[in-house]
Amino acid sequence: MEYAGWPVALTIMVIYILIVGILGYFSFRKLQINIEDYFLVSRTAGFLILYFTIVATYHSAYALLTSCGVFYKVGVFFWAAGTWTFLTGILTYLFGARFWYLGKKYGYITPADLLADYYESDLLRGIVAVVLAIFLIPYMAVQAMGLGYIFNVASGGHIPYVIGTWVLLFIVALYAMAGGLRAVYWTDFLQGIWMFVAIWIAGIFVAVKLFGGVGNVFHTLLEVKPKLLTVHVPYTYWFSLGIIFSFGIVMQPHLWMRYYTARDPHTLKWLGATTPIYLVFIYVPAGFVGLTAAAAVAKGMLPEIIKTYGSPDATLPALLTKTAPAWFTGIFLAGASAAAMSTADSQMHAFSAVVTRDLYQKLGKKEVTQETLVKQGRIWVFISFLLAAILATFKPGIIFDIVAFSGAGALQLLPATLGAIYPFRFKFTRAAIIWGIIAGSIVTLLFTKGLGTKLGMPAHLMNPWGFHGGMIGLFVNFIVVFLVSLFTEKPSSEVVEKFHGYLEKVIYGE
Amino acid sequence: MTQWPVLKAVNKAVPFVLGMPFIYAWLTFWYIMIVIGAIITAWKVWKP
Repeated sequence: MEYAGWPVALTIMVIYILIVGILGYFSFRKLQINIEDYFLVSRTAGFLILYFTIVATYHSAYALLTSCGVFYKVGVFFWAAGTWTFLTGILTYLFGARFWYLGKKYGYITPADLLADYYESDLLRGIVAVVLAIFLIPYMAVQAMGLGYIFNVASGGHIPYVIGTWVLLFIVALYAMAGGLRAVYWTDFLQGIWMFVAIWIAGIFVAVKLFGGVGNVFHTLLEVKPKLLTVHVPYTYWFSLGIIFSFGIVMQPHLWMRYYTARDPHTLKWLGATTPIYLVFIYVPAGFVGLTAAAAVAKGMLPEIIKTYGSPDATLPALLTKTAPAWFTGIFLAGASAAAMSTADSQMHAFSAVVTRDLYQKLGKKEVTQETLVKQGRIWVFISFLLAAILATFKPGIIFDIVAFSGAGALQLLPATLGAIYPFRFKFTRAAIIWGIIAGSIVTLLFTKGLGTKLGMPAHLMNPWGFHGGMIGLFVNFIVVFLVSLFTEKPSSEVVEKFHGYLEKVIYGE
Repeated sequence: MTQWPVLKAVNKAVPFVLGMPFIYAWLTFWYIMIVIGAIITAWKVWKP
């Protein structure tokens, strides 16, 4: 990609990376060598820091690059993305507060800690840890891909995609290894603010610069491409995405573990009420960008994005490099890197926590010192960096599909989680949950477009009735859980009292 | 394609509300309502 302003844009990106590095260094100096501090910042996170780490972790390269591309391709209906993002905010209260109470009381660090304790099963711990780790790797690779694209654009094509991917992801791994979750939180705070401000300024800028305002963009589209102002996607597919991108992402360890780290449950309640403001309204300027690009292409003011750049994910960088001054493009591209880095660091850290805590310490029955656990944590952050960077090198697909696939996998933990934290009269059993997760995960793999056909499934069976494979997996999962629960041993009354009795007492009083 | 009849009618007419396409304005209205609703619910209903 030819871009004359690349030295300025690249310099601004390097300055941003230096600031992130400095924050990482200071958090490293504050680190206490124990597993609760390294993985959970000693459960002391307050409202403001948790607010920005939750929103910055949820919104990844997907929010700043892919969403602009999807608006460009499907039009205004991608604003339906707000439905799953507000749901994610509300789940912070509905699930997060319950995770917090149980985590604080019984010392949980990972999702599998809670589920294995309720269902009294080491086998379930292993299955949950493996499912979460496996489905997290492609999601980490997505962030690495985003970083590679951004660095490539910022350098005017002088830095190849692969080099950008490896270098930027290594910087992320470096501060996540050194400072643990504190480094992740401090850098997320900066990145969360930066990316929100950057996308809003960029969205308004391109609409005003090219068409004199957003209203004119809509009217131009009505004239030249009215299909983009309509709904032409099956609602069953959007319903699937609504569930996958809310419940499916909250089930993933990088968000679930954030709820353990809050200072108190009031913090989570107010996060639940207020994070939807950020989570939903980041898509407004993304829409301005995507729709402005579509109108500009239709009017012949820009070359067709997908044909020219190979992916709709390039919509915003393409638009900015054509219309904005280099310093502004640099600030925005740093914001886009912030979105990718703030999710990648959280995911690497969560991957490391799952492997260290669930597989190494608990299933490996290791009686080791806190120093050894922190050392193991750092090793697994580095291994997650290698896995994500290698996968990203081969560009396994487009960002949208990979994120949906990753969320669909984690979504299979929903029946297990509901059974553990909500006191339903019908109790799910250990055997039912294990078989449900196995069946749901297999069905998700088989019915997800792209992957299913590679596994030998007929193409016409992909996304049946417009539902994503992950929703079909969840449906099968629930059926298996209900049926097997009828014939197998229920959780003991001691365990039910330990979980449901305790939650009812602390949330609703005696 | 699976689609609600109301949306089919909206797709055909492409009406504008407050300078925005109807779908965009409709979704924006509901998101603002939900955000306000979530804050009031947290304040009055959610425990602790």
